[in-house]
Amino acid sequence: MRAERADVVVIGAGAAGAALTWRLASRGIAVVCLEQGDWLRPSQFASEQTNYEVQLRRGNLGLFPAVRRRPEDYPIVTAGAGPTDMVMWNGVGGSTVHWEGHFPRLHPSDFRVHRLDGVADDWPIAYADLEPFYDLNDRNVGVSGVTGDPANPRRSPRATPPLPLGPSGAAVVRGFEKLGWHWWPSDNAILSRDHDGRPGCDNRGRCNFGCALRAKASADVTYWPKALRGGAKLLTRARVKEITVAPDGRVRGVSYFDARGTIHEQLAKVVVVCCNGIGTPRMLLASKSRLYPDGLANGAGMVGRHFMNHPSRYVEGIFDEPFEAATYGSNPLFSQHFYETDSARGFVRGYSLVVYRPGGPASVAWGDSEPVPWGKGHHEEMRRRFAHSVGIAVMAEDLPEDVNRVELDDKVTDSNGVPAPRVTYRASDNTKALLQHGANAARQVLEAAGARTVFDNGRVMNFAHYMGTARMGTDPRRSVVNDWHQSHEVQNLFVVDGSSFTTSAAVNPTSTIGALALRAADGIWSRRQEWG
Amino acid sequence: MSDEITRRTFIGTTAIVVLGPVVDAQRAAGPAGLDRKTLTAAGDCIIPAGETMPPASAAGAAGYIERLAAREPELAQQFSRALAALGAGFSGFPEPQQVEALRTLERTDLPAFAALRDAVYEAYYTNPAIWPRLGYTFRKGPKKTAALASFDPAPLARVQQLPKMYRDAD
Repeated sequence: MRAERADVVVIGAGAAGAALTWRLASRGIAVVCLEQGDWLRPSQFASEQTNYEVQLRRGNLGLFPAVRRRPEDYPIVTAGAGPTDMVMWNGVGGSTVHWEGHFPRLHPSDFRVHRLDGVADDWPIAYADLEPFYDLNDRNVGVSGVTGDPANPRRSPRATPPLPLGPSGAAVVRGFEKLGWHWWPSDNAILSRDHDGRPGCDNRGRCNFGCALRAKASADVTYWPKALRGGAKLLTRARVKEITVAPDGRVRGVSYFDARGTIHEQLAKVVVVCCNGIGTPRMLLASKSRLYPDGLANGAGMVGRHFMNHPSRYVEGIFDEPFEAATYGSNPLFSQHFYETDSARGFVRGYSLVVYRPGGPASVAWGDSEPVPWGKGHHEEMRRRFAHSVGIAVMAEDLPEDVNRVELDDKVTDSNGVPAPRVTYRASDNTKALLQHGANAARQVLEAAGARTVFDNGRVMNFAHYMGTARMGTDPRRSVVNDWHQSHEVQNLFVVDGSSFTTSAAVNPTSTIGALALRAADGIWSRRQEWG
Repeated sequence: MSDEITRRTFIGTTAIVVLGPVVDAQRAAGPAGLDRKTLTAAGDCIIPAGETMPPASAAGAAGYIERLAAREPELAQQFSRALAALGAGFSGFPEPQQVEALRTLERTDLPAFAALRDAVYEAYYTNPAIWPRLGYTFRKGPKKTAALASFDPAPLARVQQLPKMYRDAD
């Protein structure tokens, strides 16, 4: 069955797809977005259930698709040294449903890593190109924060003041102050006061289990209502099988399964892929045809290569003083004291230190770092740790490497028979050196702040930030899309999401994903005479 | 001093009450075939009664774990292995001997022990009746439930005076 030909079809209703759809729809473009998952009503969020922490281990509302196994999830095969526990939400709003709302920006130097530091490739755009779209995205999303951070270019006024540091944040600030290091209140996509029809945060915590209050700006409560009012069409439980091509080599549209498994085709003048750093290369590689036997936009074999995430170490301090018991909140502050390259440190590039508030009762007992001992001393130790701990996560820049990649698995498929992605990754020596430096720095801060005990279990963890697998660039032999996210090979195919990142930087990527998507939308719109 | 503050935070009601329904206390085994007496005794060794805290059994841990095992076959296997290693007479052992048996299990089969320990922790700490004793409150729903404290800019005094730390690049 074929629907009417759309101007633009967007695959994926997450941070990128939502922003791009809104922008195009608000310009009067006929946009259809296909999302393999569904809406999740706020009352359904795990955060509304008293056993929300169980979702970290099992249940169908958690962070890990491998644990949830919802029909709309797809399996992810992992190889290499990890990460093995991929995190994403497949539904309207994408992983913003589960995110914690950290909203930093890339630094100007992040776009010029080759020129400045002699590594990787420069982005084909500069900070200045993206700045107006960062501002626009901030306005649409609603960002709490305060301007004046000496580690970043000055930003436009924030929608609301920062979230309070809270007792745990204030304790960590003591450490930074004692050391004389940089720190700053985080920009968060969480309103601290009522704004734009949404209520301000009430500090109930559990942000990453879904915010029923809607103070947290997930794309299902920010962009989607506006996009739908603007005339965009959103089809849920519509899982794209492949992007289809016309005999002239241009993209014709997409074929997709509905929830019953019936195949449909949606024709379009332009197709935009917004499926995240794992889903996007999977979609392109799965779209094989006579004209594109190795997958779409993959003539140079670049699709899926240069997979990056943000490797992390988590260092936790236990303090004598009581902290807030409103757990799993956003992060109140961060440090970029070691963000810019200093060759004396023995590695290039740098990292952010991100402060995390205390965990929930079960998680504290299970142990973010080490389990609370069982037996006679259990209650005493639980009392020492619960609402007395604060963590610092090291967020390392991960440089792009050819061998870290997303491919199609030759055996495993999703429930509709579309091949599963296989992710092969190992952290480089530079990344490991950087993480160790960061873990030492985090320990220093916590000790200076007066922590009674510091836990550092040495485990390399990973943020759920998947990037680089359909990267932007000027050279078609080394990149997948150009500076406007247009495929080098297929004129009416665009890709924008984490996979577009030329380098990972050392900050959460979502504010940049949103800004890139808004900019890409304007690029698509300005080329509308070429659509055909 | 801080210790005292901490204790004050936690000491509220000192009476130990039975929390939630402790069901099927007489049944020998739950739906997953786990020995109820062994499970209950092991749970109370893992989380015994404290000064102001009830033991695992008072939070209904054994029943919780049985229901969990009935839904999760892989976990059920771990629990079965753990309980088998503790032995059929475990619940009748004197307490020091029970603790020793658990320590042996922890040393010899950590995956099975950790599964049991974590399940006891889960049963106990996801039980809302335990939360007031930890000072934990749970607020939910689509409406604002409390006012957010204002951000205090005073701590920024030093850091906002730092020289520019980022590199320009056009």
